Amino acid sequence: MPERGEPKREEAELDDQLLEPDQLVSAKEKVHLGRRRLSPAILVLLWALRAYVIFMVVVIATEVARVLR
Amino acid sequence: MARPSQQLTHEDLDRARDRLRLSRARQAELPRALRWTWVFWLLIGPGVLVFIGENDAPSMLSYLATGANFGVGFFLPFVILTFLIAWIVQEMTVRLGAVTHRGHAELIFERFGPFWGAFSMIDLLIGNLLTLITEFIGIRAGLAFFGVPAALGVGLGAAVVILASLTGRYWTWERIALGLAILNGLFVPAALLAHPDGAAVGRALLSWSPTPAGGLLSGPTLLLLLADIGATVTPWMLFFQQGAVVDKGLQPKDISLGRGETLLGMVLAAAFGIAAILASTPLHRHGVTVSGTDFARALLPYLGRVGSSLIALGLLEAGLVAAITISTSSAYAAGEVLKTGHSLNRSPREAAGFYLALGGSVLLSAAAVLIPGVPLEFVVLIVNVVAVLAMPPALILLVLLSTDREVMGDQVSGPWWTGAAVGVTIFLVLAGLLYALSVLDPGALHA
Repeated sequence: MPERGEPKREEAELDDQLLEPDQLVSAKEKVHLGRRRLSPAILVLLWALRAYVIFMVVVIATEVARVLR
Repeated sequence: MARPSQQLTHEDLDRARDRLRLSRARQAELPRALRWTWVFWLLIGPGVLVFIGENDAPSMLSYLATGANFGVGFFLPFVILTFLIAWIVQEMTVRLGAVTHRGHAELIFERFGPFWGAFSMIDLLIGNLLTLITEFIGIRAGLAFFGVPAALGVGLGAAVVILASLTGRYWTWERIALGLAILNGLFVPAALLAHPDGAAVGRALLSWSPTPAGGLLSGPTLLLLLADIGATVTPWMLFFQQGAVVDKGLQPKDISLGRGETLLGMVLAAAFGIAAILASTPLHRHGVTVSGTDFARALLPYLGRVGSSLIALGLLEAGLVAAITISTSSAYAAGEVLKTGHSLNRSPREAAGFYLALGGSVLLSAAAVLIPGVPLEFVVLIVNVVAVLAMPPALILLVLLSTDREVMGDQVSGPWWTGAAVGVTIFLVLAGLLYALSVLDPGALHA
């Protein structure tokens, strides 16, 4: 059994057949998906949902305060 | 494609070993049914674990509270509906993980940037921490039935969760978690000991009735309704399943079986959730009110020592498996965002951030449970409600990713699937707004 970090050659060959190229840790570290351009409609939706979460947090805090009283 | 061996890490090799096992099973000279079963056994994991993990302590306590408060009726088919909703959502994470080989947090940060990524991480980490606290409430409640002191029970629970993650191998961790998850089925014999009326169960499933006496929109019923939705649809499930699919090394050719094992997890979890509701219906029949989380003891006169022990063990299992999966989802997300190692195939030395997030969240939540005077049942119900409220933004990001052809290629979500996911988002927003109305103006829903 090799030490961790020292893969044997036959194991490396085995990996060649079994993993997809972009499945390797090194590939994932080097290749990044680009940033997606968000349309105004999507931005409005994301902000609306963020406002919804903040509003609901206030609602829950109100209910928690009521129960604790 | 040739790749120099120095590019390989042990994480890659461990994953390749898992793929080799799968490849051999696919090529084995066995009868078709046997070969298929073997392949399915090897692929089983993320989908079953995410659903049984979501049958966690607060979820099982919500189901027990549902059975105790309302008996057999509307909530049985409603719980099945919530599981179907969860399956629609989780299926997308299988495709995302298998196609991109990247975790959910990593994809969100790469495609939408750190601003929206930070929001989703805040939602996830706060939700996970609160939920983890309730898992330890479940572990404490389960062990308390057998006379184990709270501090010892919580400490043992935390030790099991941390030790299970330290195997240095995804495969071993997954099989330990699956072994524990089987015990979620203990609610089935407990339900049988409650002697449910089969005809009434059948009628309830077909007619969605009887509905609760005060109507579905009364404050306590609405809270339980939301808690039952939150028992099946939560943000951590997205981050966990996609991370586990990547860590297991699934590829696009595994998607159909990955979808199948997620469906299996959904069916098992729905059956066990309904069993929990049925197990506590004797409390409803006899008009017994349970304060706190002590359902096992309250059911002692009706289910006997064996039945109550099954409930207590079931709660213990629910807390343990969920603590394992939820802490792992936090660790995957933290590792992906910090761009450090984030795999159970790495040792703690190779992925310190990953294991620190995992162990830290477990120890913090375990300690929080030992604070005296916390209203446990309310915390349990409110945690599931918090999960429902944080879900719509997470779902929209999921839909945007799964409909993104640049990310998904041929596996992009079709219009029907996208429509269903958007429908789920609208349903969750409306359910949250109804709850808000019931809190801010309780009389409005009865006008």
